[in-house]
Amino acid sequence: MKNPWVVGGVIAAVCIALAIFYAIPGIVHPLTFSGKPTDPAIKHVILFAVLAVVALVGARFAANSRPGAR
Amino acid sequence: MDLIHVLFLALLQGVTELFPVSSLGHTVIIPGLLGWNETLQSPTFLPLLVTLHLGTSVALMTFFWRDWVQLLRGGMRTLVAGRFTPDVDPEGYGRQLALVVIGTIPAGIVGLLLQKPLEAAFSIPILASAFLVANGAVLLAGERLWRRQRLHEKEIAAKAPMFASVGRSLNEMTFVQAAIIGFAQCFALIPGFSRSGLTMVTGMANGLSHETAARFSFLLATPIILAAGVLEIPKLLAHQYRAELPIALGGGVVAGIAAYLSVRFLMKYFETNRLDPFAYYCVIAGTLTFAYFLLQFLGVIPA
Repeated sequence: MKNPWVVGGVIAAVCIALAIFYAIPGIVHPLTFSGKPTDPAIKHVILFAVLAVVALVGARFAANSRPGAR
Repeated sequence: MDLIHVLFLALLQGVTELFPVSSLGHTVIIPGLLGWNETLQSPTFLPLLVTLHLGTSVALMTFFWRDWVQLLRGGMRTLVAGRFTPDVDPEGYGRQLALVVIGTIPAGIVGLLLQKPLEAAFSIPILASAFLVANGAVLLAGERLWRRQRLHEKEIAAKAPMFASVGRSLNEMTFVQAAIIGFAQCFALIPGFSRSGLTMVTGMANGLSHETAARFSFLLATPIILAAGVLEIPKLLAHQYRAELPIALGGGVVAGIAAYLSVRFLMKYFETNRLDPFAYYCVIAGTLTFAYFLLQFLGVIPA
């Protein structure tokens, strides 16, 4: 199995990138259905920020559950 | 908005959100039958929808408040320690919270990204009726599968007691199983399929008892329904909805009371009873309303 910190870190980085993307006004945001597509999509920002945190927390638990972690 | 419509929709939402009979399906089918589609498509319907969700989620949190306190305490302990070992999480509450989080992620992503296109594509009364029949079939199939599994386990237990699985609890559920239940929850975005029904059936297919599957289903429901309401609060406070706010709040209270009584009834019901009655209801109601909408479509009965 790959290092959980690497996997979790990559997922978290992608989620943070998506959160920033949806926070930037003036560019078209796909998969947004309320307001203008160029407005910041706050719900999407919250979702991807939460997923980034969950990925890092998951990585911590997975790393601690590996044999010889403690 | 008409007060009678609001009270009726609040009761409908409060009851059907938790019973495994599809609240979304009912809010498409019943207004279609009663000719209330204008009410649902009205811009002033939005604040009502938000307060109905908030009322339902407050009811769920009130009923399961002890569970949530234990889950959050366990979650904090395991989060600080970074592991689920018995020394930090002896009762398994931290792990159970992780199961709820994992089970919520698929519906959170799909719900946010695809809810509106899915609802727009499938919010047609005749389709919702057909999916209600399909929901009934899923409940029946889940119930049959569960009973067959239990029969098989009894046979194993009779032959080799050491292999018998006893008291399938949430602590025995794996994270992959929680994710599978979470994915099943996504199908409830299609009007006619029940969120609680699909999660219960998937939980039972993974070995949970009716009561444990129902408890997990309601715990999974809370963050999703709460988020659906809370994220819309800014719209609720928008100037154009101020006049509708009192009646919408009243609807939320009615939905909350109905949801609380529903969850109380269902938790007692699933201690000893099964999904069959809800399955038969879905099949019969779905078939009858499908026939009605088909006849209406063919012009046999007036629209």
